[in-house]
Amino acid sequence: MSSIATDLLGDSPSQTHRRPMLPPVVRGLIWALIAFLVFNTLMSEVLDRMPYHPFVTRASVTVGWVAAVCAWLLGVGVWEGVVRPSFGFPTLWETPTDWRKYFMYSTDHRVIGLQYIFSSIGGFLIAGFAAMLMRLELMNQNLWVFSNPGAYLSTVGIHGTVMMFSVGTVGLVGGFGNYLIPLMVGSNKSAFPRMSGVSQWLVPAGIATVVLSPVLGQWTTGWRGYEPLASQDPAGIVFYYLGVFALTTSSLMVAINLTATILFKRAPGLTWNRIPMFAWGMLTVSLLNLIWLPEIQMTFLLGLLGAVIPFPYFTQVGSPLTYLEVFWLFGHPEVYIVVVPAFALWQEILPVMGQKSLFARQWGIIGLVFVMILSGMVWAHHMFTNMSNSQMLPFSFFTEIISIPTGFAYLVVIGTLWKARLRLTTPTLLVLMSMFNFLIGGVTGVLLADPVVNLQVHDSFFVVAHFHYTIIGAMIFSWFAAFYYWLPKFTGRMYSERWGKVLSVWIFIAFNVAFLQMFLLGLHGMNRWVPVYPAYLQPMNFQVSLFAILLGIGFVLHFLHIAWMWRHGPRVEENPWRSKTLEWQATSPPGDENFTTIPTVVRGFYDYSDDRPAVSVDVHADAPQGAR
Amino acid sequence: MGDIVGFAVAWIVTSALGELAVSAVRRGSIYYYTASNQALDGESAFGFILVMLVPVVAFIVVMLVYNMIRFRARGKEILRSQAQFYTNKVFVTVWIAISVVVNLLFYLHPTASALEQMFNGEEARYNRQDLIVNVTARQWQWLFNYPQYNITQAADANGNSVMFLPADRTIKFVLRSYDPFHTYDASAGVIHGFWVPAFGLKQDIIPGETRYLYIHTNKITSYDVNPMVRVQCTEVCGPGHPFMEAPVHVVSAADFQKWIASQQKQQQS
Amino acid sequence: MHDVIEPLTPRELRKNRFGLLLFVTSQLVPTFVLINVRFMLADEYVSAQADLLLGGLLPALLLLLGAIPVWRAVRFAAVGSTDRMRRQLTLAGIVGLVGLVTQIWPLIHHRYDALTPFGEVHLASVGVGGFFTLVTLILLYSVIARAARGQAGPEHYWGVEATGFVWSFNALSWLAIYIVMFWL
Repeated sequence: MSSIATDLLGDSPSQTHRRPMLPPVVRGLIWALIAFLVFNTLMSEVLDRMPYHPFVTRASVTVGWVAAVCAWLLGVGVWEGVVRPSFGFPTLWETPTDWRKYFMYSTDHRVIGLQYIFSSIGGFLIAGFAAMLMRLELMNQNLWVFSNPGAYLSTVGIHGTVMMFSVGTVGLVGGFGNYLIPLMVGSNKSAFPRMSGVSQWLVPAGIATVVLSPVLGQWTTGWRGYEPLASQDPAGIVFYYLGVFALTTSSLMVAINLTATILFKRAPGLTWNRIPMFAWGMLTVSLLNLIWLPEIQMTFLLGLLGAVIPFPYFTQVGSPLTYLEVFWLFGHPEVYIVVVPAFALWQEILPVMGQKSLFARQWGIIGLVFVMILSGMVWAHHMFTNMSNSQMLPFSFFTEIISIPTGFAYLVVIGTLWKARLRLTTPTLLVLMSMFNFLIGGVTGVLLADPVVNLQVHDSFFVVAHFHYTIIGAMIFSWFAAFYYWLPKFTGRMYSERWGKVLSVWIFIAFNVAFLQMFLLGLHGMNRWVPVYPAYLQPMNFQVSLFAILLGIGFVLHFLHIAWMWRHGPRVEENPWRSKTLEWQATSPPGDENFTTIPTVVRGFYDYSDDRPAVSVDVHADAPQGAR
Repeated sequence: MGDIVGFAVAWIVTSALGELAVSAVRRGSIYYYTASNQALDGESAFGFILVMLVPVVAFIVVMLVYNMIRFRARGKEILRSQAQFYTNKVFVTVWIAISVVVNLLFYLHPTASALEQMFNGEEARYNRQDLIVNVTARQWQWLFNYPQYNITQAADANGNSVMFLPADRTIKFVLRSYDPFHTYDASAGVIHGFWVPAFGLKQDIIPGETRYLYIHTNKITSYDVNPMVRVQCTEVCGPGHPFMEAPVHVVSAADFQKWIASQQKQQQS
Repeated sequence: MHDVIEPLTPRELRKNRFGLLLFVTSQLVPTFVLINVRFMLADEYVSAQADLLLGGLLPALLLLLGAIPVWRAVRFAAVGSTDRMRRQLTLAGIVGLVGLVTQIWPLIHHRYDALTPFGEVHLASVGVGGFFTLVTLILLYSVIARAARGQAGPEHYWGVEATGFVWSFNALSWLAIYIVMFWL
């Protein structure tokens, strides 16, 4: 926490040689292990001895975990990079220029962006593996992969938690946002680089915590960690709260950094009217993060206290519904935190691919902003099954109304595509697929917003299908579009268009066949959170699993393709898509500095009615004019 | 102009096909199997929304596909599009107007209208002749209690919970979550969800609160006829959650009285 | 070798203030949550175990009191009288430490009751207040340490000002919690 505020001093790069040290990640792990052992022992053996004195208690593991995460952060470089200079000591820290820089604390927004991207790919693969296990289990109506339902439910929880907090919230924001936003606004660094460097390393810590939770015990609540059930669960739930705490803290820091970057690091001439669409997306998402992440952190803290001390806030003697209410107050904005960057991405990529001016740009922005505002007013539609009747109408109203600003994203895209010269590249294809998927997610959302229908399909597989359409369908497909679109930016190399398209069609078909059938399963009476279900649902579940596994393989193949082309793809020109946005005006990949001369923006980025560039100087040359 | 006509034709054809498909589905059963008036109401709301949404979905899908095919770039060269415009007041206005109108419509019907119907159905004055079934959810078992007939725990010959209901009768389910066998354990109560898929409604059961759910059964059926006629817990309540189900039998009034008598006898023995 | 910290441009100073404002605003949210949850769980009930003085009035007074030397330090930093600034910061640090102790004391000396949520909301609030006080004190100490190494003064003004903002935020948010928990 102190690092957040002290970072406001700005960073001071000073690299002097020092005696050789362990690789930072290894050092971080060792320090974390030592810190955990020391503090855990201190708690369980000295300060808070329990009857029969077990070595690991809930209280000791919490304290040990906090110490371990701090030690891990210090070990990867925060000690030299942030703590010592904050207390007035000289910075003795050598930043390597080769691959090793990705495995340590960094203040370079591009390094941080790629670190975030790798972290969230890691989370995606782990949580995806959990999903494969779940689908394998559901191929049969009896227990056969897992030995007991609790193990299955823990897997459900790990899948949901890691996907939401380390992929959905992080992939496009912490990853692509950190890399691209300074480039897009014409700056060489982000607003608070040191804070940003710290925040990234919370992500692997958070993922590891959630994934390791079964070590402490099963937890059966799913990604909501909801009370009062959580208060009965074995101690695994402690690591759920702690891991999510690390991940949300990371996203909170990203939000502060990106907001300040967009507002204060803009190049001359980049007025409010010219802020890129992706930056608008990041701005709205960051505001959502700033409000709702602290809210859920406080709630999880109360839940954690309930599990550790215990404080019976949400059990039968407390107020059992309060937890769910406070959770969904965050939970619905959370899904917009996931999907709003995808909306922004559609409007970023398609004008370039169509070489046509963005249509009704102001409505696109209004759409993003109103989705942000309304997202805080719809939460109770997650609770139609447990709220009083009078509350249903207003929440149903807002839930239906939010489809209006959401529709503006479609309005903008459709207007832009009309009479465009659309190149059917892999990113284009993925964006269009993403729009189709979100449409299905949105339409079923209208159905779910209707209370009478909701009371039948809520908590069934219909809802599971619905939110996977909005999250995988919209966000993950757009995430892949972003990978392909900006791969030449990251590496200067191009992917294989044929493989990109084949794999995109592959995941599109696998995804739709798997999840469309889930709607039917829900209507047919398949409830959620069950590894065991009535036999009549088995044939369709078998098919869903088959296509879900194909989908998983498709995702892995995409990553393999991207990884291969990262190293071996053919070299391309610096601006292969002929985009006018600023990030493509720098070299690909960017050199030591994004812009040797800070460019001056002279017109909007989305006007393709002529060939004039949006910036006034050639940003590669050391031209004196245009400097600030 | 030609593009607009081409698109319009494609859109109308797709919408018509979509409406045909939806009406075919509605003639069947969207909810697969229904056994209560409430399920029929929900199903008709579902169908109404689908009918209204088909043209909207068709518009966007056809638009995306049409744009993708008709306006695709031909050749390798990257060329700016010939047509360049920044907005179109008519299109934007119509778009916004339609999205507002469709949403308000959905809010009035089916949301508000169907909810009003549901609320009215729950008004006490309509429900004096209700059969009351006390439903107690414990971890992990459903317990059914018929206070009007002094049946404390309805069970089949093996002692498993079973629910019998008369057909064409309004049932008032009184839902509570606690463990009657471990009343001293304050943390035993968790949230459960009471759902009979064929009845078309569900209600979460909150520890410490009493909730009600009203159903009007409309046909004779049972778990043996269709497995959707079962009580199923829908809110995860721990490792035993998947096993929290109980068969339901909706029988004629006479059969129901017979079952009541047998239960009373079983209870005395 | 000491780092040469370049003085901030006015734009960077505004950027830093804005970033801190975002941080502080977002950290107001937990206070709102606590207050709301308190009403949902315990209504207006004030636990008989809650200590009106420790974990209540005393930290509120101390934190408010400490704001005076902190802001005086900010003024001294602006004009460059580093020694007086350090004295004021140290004074604030002592006041803050006492405040921290008064917030932690009731947490240690409490019989935890696993069957009632009422008094426990108050305890969680005291704990959260203590946590923020701790963060504020670490920040304060970092500024004192930097000042001791000659890294404070007009050109390093921002660090001191940031401390002032964080301190005031902590004092005010605790005051809000205190008033709500004990008086409303």
